[in-house]
Amino acid sequence: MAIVLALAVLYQRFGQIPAVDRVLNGISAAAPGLVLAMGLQMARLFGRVPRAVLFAALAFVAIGLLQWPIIPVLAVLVPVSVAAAWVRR
Amino acid sequence: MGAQVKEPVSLLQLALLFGSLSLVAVGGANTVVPEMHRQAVEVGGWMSNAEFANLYAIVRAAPGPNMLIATMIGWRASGFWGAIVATAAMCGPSCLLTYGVIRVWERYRHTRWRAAMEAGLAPLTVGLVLASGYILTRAADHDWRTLAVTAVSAFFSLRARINPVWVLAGAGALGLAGII
Repeated sequence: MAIVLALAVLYQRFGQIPAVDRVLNGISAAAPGLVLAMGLQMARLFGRVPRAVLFAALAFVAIGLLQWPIIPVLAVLVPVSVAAAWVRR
Repeated sequence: MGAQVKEPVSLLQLALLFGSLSLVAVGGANTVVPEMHRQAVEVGGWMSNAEFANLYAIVRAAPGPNMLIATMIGWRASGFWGAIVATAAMCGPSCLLTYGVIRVWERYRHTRWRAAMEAGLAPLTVGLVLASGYILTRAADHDWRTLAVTAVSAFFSLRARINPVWVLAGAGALGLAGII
C-alpha cells in the first residue's frame, strides 16, 4: 500500500508531463486486456454449459453494458443463479 | 488532474462504499471495478475516465494485490486519509467474512448446497470480470490504436502466458514512442 500511495503522489506531481502521460496511456490501454483475458480464462472452466453462459451474460449486461448498481443486481442474480444450479445438476 | 477534488468526499462515504463492495467482491477486486468506476466517475465525478484508467493501470503495474485500486480511488477522492479509510474498508469486512466462510465451507465440503453455491457463483464472477474489462476498455481507449493494444494484451496474456508486467511495459514503451 505504501508503494501505491507513493506512486499516487508521483502521478499527481508528474502525471501531466507529456512523456509520462504517453507511457501511462500505453499502460492504461494494455491493463484492460489483462482483465478481459482473466475473464475468458475463467469462462473456460465451465465451457458451454448453457446455464453458466446465461448467468455470466446477465451479469455482464447488467453491470458492464447497463452499468446498474452492483448490490441490487447481485441481490437478484446470486439467489437465482444458485437456485438454478441447485435444480439442474 | 493535479489537485484533489474540490469538495473532498467524506470519509464515512468512502468507508460505506468500499466496506459494502468488500462484502460482494466474491471473485476478487476485479469483480467490483465497474461499481468503483460508476461511483468515482459517473455518480461522484471524483475523476475523469482517463484518470480512472491511469490509476488502475498503475496498480496493475505496481507490486501488490489489485484491491489496492481502492487505495488509489480513496486517495483521489479525499487525500491521505481517504486512501487509508478506503483500504481498511476494502480489507476489513471481507477478511473477517472469509475467515468465517472458510470454516463453514470446510464443514460442508461434500454437501449438495455447497456445490450449488459454487456452480451458481462462478458464472456471475466471470460476467463481472468481463464487465470490468469492458468498463476499463471504454475508460482507457480513445481510438483504434489503443483498442488494438487492449486486444493484443488480452491475446498475449491468454496464449503466451508471459508475466503481465512485460505486457504492460511493452505498451508503456509504445506509448512513450508516440505510437499510440
